[in-house]
Amino acid sequence: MEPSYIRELEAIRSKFVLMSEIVLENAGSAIQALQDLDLDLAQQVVDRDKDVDRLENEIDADSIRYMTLRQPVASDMRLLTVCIKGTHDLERVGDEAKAIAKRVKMIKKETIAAATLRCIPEMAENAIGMLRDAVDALEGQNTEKAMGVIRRDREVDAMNRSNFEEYGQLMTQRANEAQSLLALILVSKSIERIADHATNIAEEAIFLVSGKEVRHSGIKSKVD
Amino acid sequence: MSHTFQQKEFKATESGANAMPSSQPDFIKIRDFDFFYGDSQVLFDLNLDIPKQKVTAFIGPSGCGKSTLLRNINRMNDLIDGIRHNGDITIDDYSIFDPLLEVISLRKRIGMVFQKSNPFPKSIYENIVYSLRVAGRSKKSELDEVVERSLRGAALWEEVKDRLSESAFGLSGGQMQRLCIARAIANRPEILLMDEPCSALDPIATGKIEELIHRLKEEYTIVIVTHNMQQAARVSDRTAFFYLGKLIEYDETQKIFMNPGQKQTEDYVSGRFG
Ligand SMILES: Nc1ncnc2c1ncn2[C@@H]1O[C@H](COP(=O)(O)OP(=O)(O)OP(=O)(O)O)[C@@H](O)[C@H]1O
Ligand SMILES: [Mg+2]
Repeated sequence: MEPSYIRELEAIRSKFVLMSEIVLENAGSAIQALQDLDLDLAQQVVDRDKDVDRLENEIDADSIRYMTLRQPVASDMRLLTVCIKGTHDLERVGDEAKAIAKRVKMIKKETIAAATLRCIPEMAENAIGMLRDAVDALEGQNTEKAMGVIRRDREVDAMNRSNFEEYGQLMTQRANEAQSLLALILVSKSIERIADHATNIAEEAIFLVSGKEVRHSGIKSKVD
Repeated sequence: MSHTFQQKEFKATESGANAMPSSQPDFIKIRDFDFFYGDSQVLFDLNLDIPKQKVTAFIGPSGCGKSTLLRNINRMNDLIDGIRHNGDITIDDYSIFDPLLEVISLRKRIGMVFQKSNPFPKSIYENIVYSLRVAGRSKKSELDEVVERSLRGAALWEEVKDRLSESAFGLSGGQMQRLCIARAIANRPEILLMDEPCSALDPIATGKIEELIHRLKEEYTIVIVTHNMQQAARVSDRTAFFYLGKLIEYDETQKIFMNPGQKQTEDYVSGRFG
């Protein structure tokens, strides 16, 4: 029979998976709300972020309690540190989703109608896809998949840079839509941050499996 | 079984030979060692090198042979009928099974501390000087000096200096255990073997012994058997994990507890065994 504390560890892991599912859904809904200028959906995203915050607190508390009472070692200890660090990244993704949702009401119909969303939907698809893969890599202990996430971060960075330039130029041409365009610049930045957090989680997945710390190790340039 | 560690250590010795000419990392060497009680083999082809002035922990489930191996190092098993071994154990490259070696002189180099403290029914003072008296040394000033040095070494001097002539049985469990450590170091051995020295002690006494082990390794090579994983993690530099008489993994303690190479080790240190 499995010792009971193994089940406790499993429960923490399940909560982490639940939190990541909510965050993924919220991020997707925020982009959908933006594309459809759907204020109701945007409000749902804002409301659901409270669940994300609550889960972060719970997972951290559960992990600290487990460390204190069970004194885990080796991969159990890594799993808990990864949960604590990972919930922090997930919570920040939740904040970015909320920030995107809040910007929806600053954006005018004509700005969207003029197809000035540019690469934002594609960029969002990339970033959210990276987050999905990072969470899957963590769950499935798949370092290959995690490396793939790290590799893709550059594309999202590049898209964000070109958005900055193009929206900046449009602002000088279409002064009456300046607020909408500014909102889109901020949305682009939020999506770029989501990809950064996905990258962090992918690095944590590698740490969980191998015990090797790959942050700040230049792995990003190596995996290209 | 993992041999990589020995090889790594061997290389380090070669390349570091110029930097530290006097250092001798591998002090006790166990080679192809099998051990039998009668017909039953309890240790299988063990190979490990124990470094000088470090703490090496032996861990593993009950009955895996930790005590048997420890007791081989000072040939305590000699007293048991029907024992037999293959392979060799050397200290400073000198075989402890050499027929010319006197077991008494081997034991002088090795102090031993047991799970249950076993003071003699004598005074604190006599417990410590007993082995010196047996060796024919009786000069009062010399004995006094040994008593003070040993008790200080075992972090017990301040607690007992005013009651040295009282019975050792009046001490608390933790104090008795430190008295046994004082007795074990009275002869200035080079090696200290400890078989579950803290298993009967409370956390404060355990903390004192662990702190003591930490200090003693400046002078002694220490091998400790423990069932307490946190204790192994806290006090040792290297950890050897045994299972059913075989050495499964031997490496830096932090490697064993943070990221062991063998699944069996990971299962054991994280409590998933059995
Ligand atoms: N004197 C003896 N005669 C025969 N068999 C023995 C003797 N002493 C120990 N054994 C056997 O040898 C094996 C190893 O015993 P040992 O005491 O070395 O294990 P251990 O790892 O120290 O266990 P524990 O953690 O319970 O102290 C066991 O199967 C034990 O039953
Ligand atoms: Mg034993």
